[in-house]
Amino acid sequence: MARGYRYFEAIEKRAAILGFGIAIMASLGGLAEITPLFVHASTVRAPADIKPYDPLRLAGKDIYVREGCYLCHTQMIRALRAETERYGHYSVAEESVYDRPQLWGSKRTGPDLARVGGKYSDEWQRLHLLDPRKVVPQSNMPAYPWLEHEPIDASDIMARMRTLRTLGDGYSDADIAAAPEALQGKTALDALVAYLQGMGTHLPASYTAAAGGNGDQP
Amino acid sequence: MSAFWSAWIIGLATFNLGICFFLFVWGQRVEIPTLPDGTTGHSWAHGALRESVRRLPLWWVVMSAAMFVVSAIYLALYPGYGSNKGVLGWTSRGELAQTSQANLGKLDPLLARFRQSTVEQLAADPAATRMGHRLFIDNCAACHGREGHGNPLLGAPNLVDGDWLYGGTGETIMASILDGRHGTMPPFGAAFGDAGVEDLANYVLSLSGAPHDAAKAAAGQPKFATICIACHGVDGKGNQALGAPNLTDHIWLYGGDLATVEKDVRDGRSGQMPAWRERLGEDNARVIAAWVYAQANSKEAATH
Ligand code: HEC
Ligand code: HEC
Ligand code: HEC
Repeated sequence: MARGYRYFEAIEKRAAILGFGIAIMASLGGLAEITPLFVHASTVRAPADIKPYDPLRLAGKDIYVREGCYLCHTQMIRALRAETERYGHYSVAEESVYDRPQLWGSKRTGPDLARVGGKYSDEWQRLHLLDPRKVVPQSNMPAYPWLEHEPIDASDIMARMRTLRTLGDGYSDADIAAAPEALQGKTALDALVAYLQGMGTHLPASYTAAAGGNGDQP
Repeated sequence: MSAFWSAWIIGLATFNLGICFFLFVWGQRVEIPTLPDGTTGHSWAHGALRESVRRLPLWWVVMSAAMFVVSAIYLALYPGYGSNKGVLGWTSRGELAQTSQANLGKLDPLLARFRQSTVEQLAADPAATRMGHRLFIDNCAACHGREGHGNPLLGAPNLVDGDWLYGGTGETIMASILDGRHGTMPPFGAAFGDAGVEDLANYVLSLSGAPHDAAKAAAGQPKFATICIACHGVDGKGNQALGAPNLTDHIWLYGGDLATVEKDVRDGRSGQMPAWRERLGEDNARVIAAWVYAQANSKEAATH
């Protein structure tokens, strides 16, 4: 037994070896937990009824990212009763296939937005973004008045869609060619409202059938 | 999860636990060579720090042993060891279904009772209206306000004043909530021009006896009679089938000043009430309708 102690001494007295050993042991957990999920994520496919963002919603999503809405809002309804009662069916992986980066968020200063699409009218969404206090007097969400006067820059939308196609989103040549026209005369506010109104309205059919859905990972 | 990834996770977890367990056992048994001064001879910082030999404290040994026991029990009961489902067969979705079911079990007798009553009857049941108000605040307050007083910026009507666009029976309130409403007032700016719009607006104001220019109102009257009566009625009292508001009372969707009424006529309006059938379902809609009905009718009683 005393012989084994010599190895221990070698490790203990050399910081580099000790550090290396710690790094290996600490990374085992990550290898076990994270790598299988990486591989699993790359196998999630959008069902046919979930389409890539149309150009206006795509522009709206970029504004959502630019304005940092994800800092106060999640887009992830967890499988907990308190959440499904309030927000609707829990979020599933197939719904974020076209979100790069995903916008699940981790902090809720405001409510979850994963299924906010269609909850309010377009007019409500516009008023609320321009000045939240006009519709929710006690709101502490910031106002975004500049969005109303900011035209959408359509010059790079085709390039963005082509990039997304390289990553696997099913845009056709015709979709891409028609994009600048779809953004003609639209403001940042129009785009953001269109994005919000589409949110969570496409739960894959396989989940809506049975109570609780099939749910199991493949 | 494929067999490969299951084996990957099992392998890593076993390896990790195994090494820890080996060190735990070996660390207590190993004989540590000790110098006469009672230290191991290891020194740091040029001899200022020297390592002496002590037994591991008992609390530490017990806690560590407990950790191995707990992780073994955990991996046996819950999913975690590869694709092993665990003895309990727990899933987050299964738990959700279970808690939802348990909650429904508690609610069901109440909901079953509610289902047998009309909205009008439920309005007198405090259990129903309390629940209704809660749900109203969560879902409707963003447009109609917490107490249902409405918001003229959206044309969201006051729901508790006893005046109705579509009707105030339990059934029409239910229809408004479940399927939504979309009142469309077409724009007439192009048809009548600025002066015509001003005349019409003055005439509209005259209907409720609000301050107006009598000459312009008189000029507006024939214009009103040509087209507006189709929806607002010959006497301007509105039409609940179309959601066209009564223009002869002092209740306004958007506002009763000249500029606002001119805007109504010039640019049109399109008040939209979303449909809630999918989101809330009939049971929830019924208790909300009961709260709305109770508020509207108690206010009416109070003003008379
Ligand atoms: C400082 C935190 C904060 C930021 C940043 C923020 N919000 Fe909010 N948001 C809130 C709060 C709080 C509420 C709840 C009160 C209200 O409705 O205004 C809310 C409510 C909402 C709602 C209504 C949700 C519902 O179901 O009632 C929407 C939609 C929304 N926010 C969109 C946005 C968008 C889009 C952005 C980015 C442009 C944004 N928010 C940025 C805090 C924030
Ligand atoms: C996006 C804003 C919005 C939300 C949210 C909303 N409403 Fe409405 N509601 C309206 C508007 C606007 C109208 C008027 C529709 C019209 O002009 O045709 C209306 C009309 C109604 C009416 C008909 C009133 C009448 O005079 O006949 C009822 C009843 C009603 N809402 C109840 C509700 C209830 C209950 C909820 C919550 C479940 C709700 N509303 C949520 C905007 C909203
Ligand atoms: C096709 C049917 C229709 C016709 C024609 C019509 N209206 Fe309307 N009007 C409506 C509806 C529906 C609303 C409610 C709009 C809403 O819910 O947002 C309304 C709203 C209004 C309002 C706002 C009332 C308030 O309470 O704020 C005014 C004022 C008005 N109409 C005046 C007129 C005048 C003047 C004309 C003729 C030039 C006219 N309307 C023609 C359907 C009509």
